[in-house]
Amino acid sequence: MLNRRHFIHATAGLACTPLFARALSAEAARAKDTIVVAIALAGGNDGLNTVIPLKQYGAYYTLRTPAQPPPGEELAYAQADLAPLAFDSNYRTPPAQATEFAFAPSMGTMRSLYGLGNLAVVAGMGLPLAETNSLSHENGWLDWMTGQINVDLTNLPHGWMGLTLDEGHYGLLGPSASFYGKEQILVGKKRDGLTLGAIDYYNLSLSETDNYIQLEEAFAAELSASQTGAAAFDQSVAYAAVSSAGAMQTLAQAFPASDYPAPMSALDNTLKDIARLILGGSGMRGFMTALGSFDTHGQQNLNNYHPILLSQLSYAMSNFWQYMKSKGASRNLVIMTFSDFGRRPAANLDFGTDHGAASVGFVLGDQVRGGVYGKYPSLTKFDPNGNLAVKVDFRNVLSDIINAMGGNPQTVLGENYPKLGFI
Amino acid sequence: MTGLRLTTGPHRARRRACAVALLSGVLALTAPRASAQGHLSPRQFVQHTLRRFTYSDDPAAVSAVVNEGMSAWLTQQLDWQAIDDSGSQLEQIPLLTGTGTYPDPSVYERLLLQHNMLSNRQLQAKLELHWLDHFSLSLVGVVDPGIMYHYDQTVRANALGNFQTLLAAIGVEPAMLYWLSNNDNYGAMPNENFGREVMQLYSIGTTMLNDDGTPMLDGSGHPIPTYSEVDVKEVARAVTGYDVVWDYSNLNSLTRFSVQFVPGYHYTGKLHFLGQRQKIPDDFTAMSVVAGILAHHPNAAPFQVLELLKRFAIEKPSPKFVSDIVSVWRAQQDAPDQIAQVIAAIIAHPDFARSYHAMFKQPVEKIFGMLRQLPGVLQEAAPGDLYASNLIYGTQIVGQELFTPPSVFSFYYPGHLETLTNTQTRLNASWVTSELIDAYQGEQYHDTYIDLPALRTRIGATDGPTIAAYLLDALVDGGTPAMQSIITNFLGSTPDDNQIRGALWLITNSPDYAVN
Repeated sequence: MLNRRHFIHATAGLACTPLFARALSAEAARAKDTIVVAIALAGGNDGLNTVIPLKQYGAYYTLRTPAQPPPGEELAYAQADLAPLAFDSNYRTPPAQATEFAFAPSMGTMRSLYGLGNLAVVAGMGLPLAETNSLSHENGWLDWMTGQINVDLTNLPHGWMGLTLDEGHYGLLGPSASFYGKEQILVGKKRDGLTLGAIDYYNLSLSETDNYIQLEEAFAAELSASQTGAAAFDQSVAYAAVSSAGAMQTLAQAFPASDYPAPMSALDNTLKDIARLILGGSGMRGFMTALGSFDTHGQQNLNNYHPILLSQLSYAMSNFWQYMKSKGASRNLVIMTFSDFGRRPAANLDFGTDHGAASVGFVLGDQVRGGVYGKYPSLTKFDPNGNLAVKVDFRNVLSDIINAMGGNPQTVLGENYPKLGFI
Repeated sequence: MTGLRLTTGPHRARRRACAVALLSGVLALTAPRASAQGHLSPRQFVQHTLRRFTYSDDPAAVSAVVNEGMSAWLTQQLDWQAIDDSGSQLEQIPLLTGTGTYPDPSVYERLLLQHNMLSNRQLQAKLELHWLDHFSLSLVGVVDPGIMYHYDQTVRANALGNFQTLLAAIGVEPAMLYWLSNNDNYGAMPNENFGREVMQLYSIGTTMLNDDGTPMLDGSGHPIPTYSEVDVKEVARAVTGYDVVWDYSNLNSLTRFSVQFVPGYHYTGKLHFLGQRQKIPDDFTAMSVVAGILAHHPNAAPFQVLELLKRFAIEKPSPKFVSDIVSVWRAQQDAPDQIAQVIAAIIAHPDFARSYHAMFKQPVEKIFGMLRQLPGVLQEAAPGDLYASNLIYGTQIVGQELFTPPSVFSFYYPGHLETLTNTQTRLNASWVTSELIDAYQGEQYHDTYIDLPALRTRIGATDGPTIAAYLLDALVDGGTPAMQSIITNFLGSTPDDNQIRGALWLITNSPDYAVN
């Protein structure tokens, strides 16, 4: 049983030496397996105001202008404001010549990424109509976590990322981590992911009598004893926490990433921590975090609420990917976004949007073939619930991701969902 | 202002009578080996019930309940208005400043935390926590923290009352009107936020259930939705018209806002939802009528009962447990103390005793539990220190800072308490317990600490084995044999204060302490 005292003795003197650092980085660089960072846009992102279909602009403007809005609450973006962010399915088309789509005006950074050819825009992405409660936060969220629909809330399926990473050999910190609380996405059959806040604060505070050593040893001794149920689970989590704390502290000290671009949001800070974990040679291959809330039922653009979120997303994704590229560590990195669901096509009289169906997603990485995938829904012909029709089942998106991670999508998802081919 | 909705006056006598009458099953608990108590000793059953339905209590208080009998304790707790609660609030409710600046929200959090720890109305306080979780409003989403406090007072007053009354009262609370955007819900193109969540989360859930809690399935074996998207729009239209009005010249936290009904905002067309034409009045009572429709929907009973059982009894209740309690819910549908009677039925049910140690503690149960089981002290804030609290910070880093749930599902999905036990919160819990155990009176930014001299006085002995036995009884019902061995060996023969602190830390960070 490895405890912190042993770990410190084993690594003392090595932790901060250049040799150690290079060894860990080289190990990370040698890893052939794809690392996925999943960013949840929590609450249901308004895809229609994230990627605007220029060829349906008239219908867009009408839907998003139910009445004369108060100043500062306009939901429909002006065509002039969209022009500099226009793009076509062919990522090489410059904005001045693009006629198909436009990013929201606050997403200039995302437009720049798109032009590099490593950003896939997935249009019309969402949950199928067969999902009985597709407009419920709970169901939408868990569907995306598990790759299943009509999830039995009393008996949750495993997470798709957890299942994918079940096979493989990992270091002391395990295969994955969530920076958004304990989430089902990381739960595999064989192992679970770590739940982390900021990695600099992931440590064990000591009481005056330095009891944690005794705690760890006592609980390790009990691990084979007759603890069952809730007690056994608590014990296993405690053991995982105590066992990983030392390694995390060492890694955090060794890789401060002081040259990371100045964070502009909490998402930036989290992605910086993920960069440290990857570059530090943790061996972890799956990460989840979130941004939000995108649940914009009212006054969606008041004080630029939704635009600011999109701006934060764009900057954070760009900063992270560019930083990893600068370290020569982006080759096997994939960053994806998803959301519980989309929003309704028509705004309500509070100049917000209610729960809807289809939305858009982004996938960024060296392996990604830039362009638009899926199909943008019609703004005049809706699904039976009056929402933007889903054109791409979310499981098709997950198929590409799981495959890139070395998993078998059919095994993980339970059925075959053809890949979109963006990786 | 509609004011706090209370069940008062004549209802108290009726409630007391009902509690005594309905507790015939619980009365049997005073006799040895009664069925509700099951395999548990009387002391274990009391500790189990206090852990689930209060924030626990110290060994002497547990002994008192054992001696007087569970039914007597429950009767007293259900008659909460007769219980002196004056000691549960250490500070005054803050007013606006002279410049109209809102008080720091943490001031209101302190009042809630004080109440949880110090109130003698513990059963009500625990049901208050349940309903705060159930309705899941956050300070983050409301304009003025004072309206969160007002909302909490309404929840507290109705926590053991009638569900329909509670739902109607919550619906017109300013905090709810802001949180789910019903304050900005107009006419024919409604904001659907409240209309959806009042069904999905607050009253009838998303899928039909049998009375035993199992899902109702259609001919193809698929779940049956309780409502459609059309129903969402229609319910949203039904509850249009409400507006929060502010009196900026009034600095009082509880009266500077009020709710009015604006007929011009209200949808007056025909409404048809949940399978029938609904007649919704064009006045302030619209919300109350909608609440009545939802509370009487056939799915409300199993949906609400399942959640109560998952939070208080067992995360996967048996169909019989569910159906037995649903029967009580339905039978008391319009009783002013409907919820109280349901709680009494849960405690009296054999499955409740069988759920001993089968759940996790919520983080606040761990924190308040140790403070109440030991001589924990919560101090009035020092002058100039009103916004600093190691207790607030502690609840924050273990994932349950009250008044700030992270999502519409509060801190965890009912039935999935394990999500609160993760590597980050587990490590943070070690800090919190250290803080509470090592803090001392007068320490800056520390409003809470364990009074070690008072603990020694309570124990009344200085030898290690006696101290170990007391601590283990207080915190973990005596503990497992392995835990007893660890603590006894750790304390040795004559432990000093540091060793006692160390033992407290070990116990409160053990799996024994984590279970409920």
